[in-house]
Amino acid sequence: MTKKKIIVLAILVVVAIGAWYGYSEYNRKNKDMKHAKPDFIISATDLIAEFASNDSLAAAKYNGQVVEIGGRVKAVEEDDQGYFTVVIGDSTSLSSVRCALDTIHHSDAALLRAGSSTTLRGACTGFNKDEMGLGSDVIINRCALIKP
Amino acid sequence: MKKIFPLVIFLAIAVASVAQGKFYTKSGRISFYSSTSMENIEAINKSVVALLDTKTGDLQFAAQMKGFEFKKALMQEHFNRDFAESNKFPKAEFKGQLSNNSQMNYSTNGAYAAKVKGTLTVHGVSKEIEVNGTLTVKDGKVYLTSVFNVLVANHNITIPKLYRDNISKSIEVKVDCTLVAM
Repeated sequence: MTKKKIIVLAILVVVAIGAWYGYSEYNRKNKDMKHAKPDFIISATDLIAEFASNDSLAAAKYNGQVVEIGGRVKAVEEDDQGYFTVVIGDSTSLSSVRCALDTIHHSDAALLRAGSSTTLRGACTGFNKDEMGLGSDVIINRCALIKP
Repeated sequence: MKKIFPLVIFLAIAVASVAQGKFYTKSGRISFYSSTSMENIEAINKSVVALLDTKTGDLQFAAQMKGFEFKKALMQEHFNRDFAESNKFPKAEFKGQLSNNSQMNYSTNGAYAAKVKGTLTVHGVSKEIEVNGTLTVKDGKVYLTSVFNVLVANHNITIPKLYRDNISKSIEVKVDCTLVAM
């Protein structure tokens, strides 16, 4: 092989890798939380307390991160389009951690019962401070059940 | 029998006053669409908080910007980092009123055209808006639906040149919330 051919081949390989990377990056899906490595493992009540004491500090720490939440199930809510939200926290408090189940893990909802302890993993999304008299909630999205 | 009659009236009043109270949800849905010839972008937030006071017609919505989910992870990252700047402006909010609240009957099933007026805050910029929607009362629940357009420029969101053909200047917003009595 001549030097020229090798250079052309190398350029083609680089372009192909670039195109493949661009294409897969463009089509990349959000991570499945069942197999994601958690950035934080924390109980629901501790997470609520941290957001309640300083929400901007807690937001900077947790938002966008993978969190694994342990706690007692207050309720499993299903809306009219079949989306599930698992509400975790202290049943005597209005505030909760609200875990929206990933649509690919909707079958997990059947394994959960109010009053039982559970562990879920998801992406921390934010904190709804109580401004309407409905309690404050930490929102976790794309959740998967880790331990029923 | 004479004693039961006032009790029945009392109960009827009690039920009626419940029907005239506040309705809320913590799992309301708001989605948005951007459609251009290059690509269609769609995102949905399923953890919207909404509160309706049926007495005054006061209506509030709050949504976490990071709660909008896209089909493509890269789009979601661009949205949060480059457009919505979600770390700086984590929440979108609407505070306003049903301007035709007096036409609603919350105690019987029915669908009504709803006119809503108020302040929409997105990306830290507040804008007065007026939108039309539908308010449906069904079996003690209140369903709120609406479709309206928001200009990204109204909220100081600038689209980089590179994406100008891919992202619409006018975003279609869809509200779909089921409120239950408090």
